[in-house]
Amino acid sequence: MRTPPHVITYRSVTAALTALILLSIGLGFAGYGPLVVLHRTAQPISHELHLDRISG
Amino acid sequence: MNGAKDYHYTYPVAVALGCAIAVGVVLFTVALVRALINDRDLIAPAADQAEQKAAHPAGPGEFAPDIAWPLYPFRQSRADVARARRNVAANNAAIWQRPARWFFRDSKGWWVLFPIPAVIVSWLALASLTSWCCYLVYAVVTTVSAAASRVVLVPVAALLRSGERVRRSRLRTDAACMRCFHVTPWPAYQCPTCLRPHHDVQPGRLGVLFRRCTCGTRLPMRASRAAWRVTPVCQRCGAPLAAGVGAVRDVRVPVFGDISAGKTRFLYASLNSLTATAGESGLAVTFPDKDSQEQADFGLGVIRSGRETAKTSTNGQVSLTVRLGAGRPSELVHLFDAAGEHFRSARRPDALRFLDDGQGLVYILDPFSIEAVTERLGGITAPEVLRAHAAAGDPQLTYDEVASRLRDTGVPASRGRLAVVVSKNDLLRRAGLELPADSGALAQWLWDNGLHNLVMSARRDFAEVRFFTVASQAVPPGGPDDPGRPLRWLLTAHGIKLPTDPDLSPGAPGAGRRPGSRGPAGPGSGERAARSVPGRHAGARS
Repeated sequence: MRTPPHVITYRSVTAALTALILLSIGLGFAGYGPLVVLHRTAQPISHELHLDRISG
Repeated sequence: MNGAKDYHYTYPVAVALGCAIAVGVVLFTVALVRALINDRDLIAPAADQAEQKAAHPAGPGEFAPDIAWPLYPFRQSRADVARARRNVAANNAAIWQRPARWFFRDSKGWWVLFPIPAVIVSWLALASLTSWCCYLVYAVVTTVSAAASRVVLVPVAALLRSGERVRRSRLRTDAACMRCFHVTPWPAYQCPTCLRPHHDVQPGRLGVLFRRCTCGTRLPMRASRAAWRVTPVCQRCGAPLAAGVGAVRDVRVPVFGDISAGKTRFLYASLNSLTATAGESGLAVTFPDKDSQEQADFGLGVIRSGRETAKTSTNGQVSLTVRLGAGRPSELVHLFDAAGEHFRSARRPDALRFLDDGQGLVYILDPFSIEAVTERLGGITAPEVLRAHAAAGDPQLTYDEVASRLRDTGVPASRGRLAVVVSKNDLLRRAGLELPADSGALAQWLWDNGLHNLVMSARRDFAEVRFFTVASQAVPPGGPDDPGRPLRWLLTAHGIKLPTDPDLSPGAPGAGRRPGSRGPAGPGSGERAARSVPGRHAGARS
């Protein structure tokens, strides 16, 4: 019996969501969580802004 | 130095722990792939139907739930989570099988090599814990997604069902079968691929806008959509119905009367008039099935050529379906007729099932069967009476039989309308008798000629009664004795948009209503005159 398309869609979505959450948790444990990455990305910018403020 | 030494321990431990976590993830991934792709637990429509039947057994006259794929959040999501749990458990059991035997059952001597067994057990425990944590995430994601979907789908389905209910009651979209005369609020719709009937296409757990039949075909939900895309069939006998049944207004008009009263001729003559009226107002008149088309061709041919109508066979009924208009705004009208013999014992045969669901009834009364009329014309052997093929029975008896049947079957006739049609008016006029055309005056005439019980019973039994004189010939619409007037009155009263006769609008003079029924009798109507008569005729024949 063929699996109906709506079942395939739902399964794909739930599996993808699970994978995404597990990946986030894993990267978080490894020190590459989304917040850490954001912080590291933003650090030079905020540092520059800080320098601008104190020099200006 | 101490720090450097620490790395000698920390790195291998971290690698070992990482490996354990990776193995746990792999264990879960394998379990999930098996659950969703390779070794899936698919809830087939038949299994779901069996569950639903067991949970909500169908009552008398109800159908079992339809066989179609349930929406994922309503059933399959639970099955997938359960299957994934079983697979994770099985994978963990597989990796623990040997270590459990080595360390806890058969060869407990391994513990001599402590801490090796402890390290292995800890490593496996971490892998298992990881796999179960992953499963937990999957279970939470699936459960929350299913719940969120249900939170959206259930109110939307309820809203669509309510809309459909309002539409049904506004348009009166019943489904009438012309084979078994069964009437249901909506028909079953047949899957075009596997021909399986779907009895309930209301939005719900099987679908909101569409459902998927067990054969895989996508079917639209709601009668208003399905009626035009798939074949409607009778819920009871499975006979195919006209396209649009369940989505368009459906009016049923049974015609009854004694043998040779002129029922069949009236049916075709009124159809002829209706066709002309509809044509004038630019409304298409078509016949949705082959039988109706053939009957109409034959009947209209007889009326238009002025030929005699053959007697209706006692073996079959005439049921004719007419579609007024085209496409979605069209309306279906069913006309029913049966041989007069059936109405002499109307309570008995199932052949008169159509009477029970009629929305407006037409009673054909042959004036030549009224004793006072035949006496005035010179008795039953008078040439005018013989030429008219007068009905032999008492008009009162036929009416009483039908009224009793309606009462016995619990049909609320008091909410319906009755058109009492005095037929053969052309022959009566030729014989020198002129009948009044006004409904109230005609009722009075019948009352005065010995049918006061019939007039009284009809007004008591039905919400509204009108009296008509017709000549079942090809009379132009609006002309004297137009046979289309009774039908137009009944159809417009049920919401069908036809040009109305000025004297037939609601509340017009002559509207014979029951005492206490909605709306007053028109001022100066024959109703009041007829009501004033009982005192004079008390004790007359019943």
